[in-house]
Amino acid sequence: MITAVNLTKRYGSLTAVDNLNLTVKPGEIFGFLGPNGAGKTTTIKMLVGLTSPTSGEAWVAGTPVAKDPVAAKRVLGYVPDTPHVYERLTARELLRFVGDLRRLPPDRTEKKIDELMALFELTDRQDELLGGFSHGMKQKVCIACALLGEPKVLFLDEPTVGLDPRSARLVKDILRRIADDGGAVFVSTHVLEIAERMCDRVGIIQNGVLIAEGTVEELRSKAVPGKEGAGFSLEDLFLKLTGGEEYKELIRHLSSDQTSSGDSSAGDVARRE
Amino acid sequence: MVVGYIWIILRRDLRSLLAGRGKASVKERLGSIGAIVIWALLGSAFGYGAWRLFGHLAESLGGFPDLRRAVEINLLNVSSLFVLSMVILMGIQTTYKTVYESPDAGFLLCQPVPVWAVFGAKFLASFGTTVLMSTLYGLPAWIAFGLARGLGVGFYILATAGFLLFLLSCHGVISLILLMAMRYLPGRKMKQLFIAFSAIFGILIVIASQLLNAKVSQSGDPTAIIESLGRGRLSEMWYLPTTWMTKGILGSVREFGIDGIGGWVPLLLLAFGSTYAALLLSEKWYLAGWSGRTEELRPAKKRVRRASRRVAGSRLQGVYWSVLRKDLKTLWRDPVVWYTVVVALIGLGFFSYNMTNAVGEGILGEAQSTDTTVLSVIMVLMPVLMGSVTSSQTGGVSLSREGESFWILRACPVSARTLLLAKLTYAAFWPLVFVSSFLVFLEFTVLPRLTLWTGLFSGVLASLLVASLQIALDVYFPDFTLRIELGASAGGKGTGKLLTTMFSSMGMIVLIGAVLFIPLIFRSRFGEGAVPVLSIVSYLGLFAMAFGATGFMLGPATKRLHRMLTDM
Repeated sequence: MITAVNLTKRYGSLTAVDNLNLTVKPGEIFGFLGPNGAGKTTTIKMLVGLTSPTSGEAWVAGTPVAKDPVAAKRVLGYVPDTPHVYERLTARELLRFVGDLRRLPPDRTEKKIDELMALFELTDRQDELLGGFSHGMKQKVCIACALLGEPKVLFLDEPTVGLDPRSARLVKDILRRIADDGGAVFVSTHVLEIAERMCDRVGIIQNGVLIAEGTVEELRSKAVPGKEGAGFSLEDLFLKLTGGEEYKELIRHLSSDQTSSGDSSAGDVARRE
Repeated sequence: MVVGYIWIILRRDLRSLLAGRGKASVKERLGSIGAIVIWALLGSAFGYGAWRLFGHLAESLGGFPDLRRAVEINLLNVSSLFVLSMVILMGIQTTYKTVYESPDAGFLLCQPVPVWAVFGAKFLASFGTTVLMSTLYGLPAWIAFGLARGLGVGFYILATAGFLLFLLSCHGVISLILLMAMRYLPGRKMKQLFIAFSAIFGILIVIASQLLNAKVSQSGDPTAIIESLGRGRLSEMWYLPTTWMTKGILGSVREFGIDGIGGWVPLLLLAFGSTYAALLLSEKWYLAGWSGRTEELRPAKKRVRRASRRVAGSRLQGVYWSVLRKDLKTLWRDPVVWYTVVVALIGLGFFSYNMTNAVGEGILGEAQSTDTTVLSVIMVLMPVLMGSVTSSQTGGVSLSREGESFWILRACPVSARTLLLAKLTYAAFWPLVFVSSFLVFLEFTVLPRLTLWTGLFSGVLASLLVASLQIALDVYFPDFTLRIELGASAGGKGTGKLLTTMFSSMGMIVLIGAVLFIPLIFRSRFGEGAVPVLSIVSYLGLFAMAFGATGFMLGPATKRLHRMLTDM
């Protein structure tokens, strides 16, 4: 469903994504992880046709994204990391607009909007201007926009940011349902718990390079061979692979410094007394 | 102590401004230099104009010193009143934005710093902006007056001091009003009030200036201006800080025999009193007002719902119609845009009123035999000009106005050509509405005009050409940070873009006018008999321009937009 071959994006001397290769099969939820600035959003933008790669190619549902972006966008849905929407449209009007852009029959659009509004508990507020919506509500509207065209492939960039636990759970269930129905879901997230529980496979990108890919079990066995790895969570693996463990020592130093300074100030007070 | 905190905050602001300049790209630096040059040139132009006027007064009224002084006082007072209007029109919003919407205000309020120190820093920063903005309109008149009268350095120092005190008075009072209002009104409501107030005030200024213009053009006598200005007598406006400033500064010029103390005392009291009161009250009220600035207002739910359901049934399908419908819908709901439309309509209304009067009084009578064509073409181009000024803030920059929401169009299966066509239609919307309704209106008047169909044909072509230029500029130089409020860019971002779009559109209209005037220009050379051929040449020229524009829009502009949709 999603294929990237030697996908590379350079901005001048900076290589944001470097020779990325990956495949996501139908029925799969792929979790895309990485530290801030690792190249996650750039990769997603190349896969959905919002940024053209410097070299390499990407296909979505068999359509070459760079060569025929309009055709690719017909079969995919995309949720950006920040939910910017037209503030002077209502939620229903925005969804209608997206339905028209996707050339969906009006009757089907209206029916689907009713379903999505009910699903995201926005029915009561669907005719209010989006300018008055909270961040989480705008996020729900963006997800509804992506789901409106019943896409075969769904890309989500940090979809649960700003959502309350109930809505976050709803989104997770929806993604699972799409995958179970034969679709493919590509989700970038910082919430490793979500990736561990929800994703069939995960990829970890750092400095534009895909440093690990596979199921959580596969990553665990690669990173920490033997029985020792069994107790490793995805968070531990992520830190081990992306070099986050070095911070633990710094944090330990920081906390010991604070303790000692706390001790000394306590000592100062005692001396003054 | 508090002054120390204020200094720390302002020093940080200044440093980040200077550091920002250091890191700026060549384009940004050129932009900054250009803005400074334009500012200086405009100030010099105002000053030069005022200097010529005062010089003219010295020459023509040299034998009547009392009359000269009276006219000078009135001119200076009116220029100060204009500054007061500008401060009311723009200063309130500038102060509100700096004091309440400054992005670092939240961070500063979280620090162990007295609230009034944070307010004080923001107060001074917005005062700086007000000074920069108002000096352009206010100070050149005083400098010109001093130069025309050959006054010494002391006068300029006093004039600058008086002007700054006057601005501080306005700024202090505005800040006090804001502090009080923000305590009781949610931020969004405040913004709506600002916009409504500024729009009404702006429209009143436009109407007043147009009425003055109509009076002068009807009487054909420039002294009418002086007579109109003469209404602003100092004694009748004793309660205004502009009067105090004028009295204070002119008190230093012995010839005028004005009691300067009577001006300086109330000015000083108001300036420092209002500033002190604002700082004092900010300790209690600023935090409450700042935290309420983002309070939401429930929109008019039922009204939107009815509108929403109404369009659900029978709507035109396809990307073109849906983009156009979305743009027109958001335009309809943006009250700020209507300000530009109302101003353009007022301008057009006064234009036709003046022309009707000119025809009625026979001013145009002698010219009718030779220059009817000129006037007829102007009658077509004027509404196109007004429409294009409106569209230079609406449809002409509609791609930029997509802003952060542009991702929605980019993520959907939208072809660049269809999108371009929809945006082009939107850009041509106002010029087409203005020109068609104005030409139909002309049919019921005695004004010179082309035949309805010739006029419509020329008007539609001109509108489409201007719209093409605007959209091409927007495709090549988009600015997605652009936000427009009351005929100007909000927060100063995108000012260059708006001005470029407007002036380029005007340039295009001048070019179209030149093409339409071909028969007139070459009639004397080729004789009256050649006029029909020259007319055909003129319209062929217009066609050639239209074909050129179409080719450009379908070729390079479409490619460029395709790149924006797929690689940004």
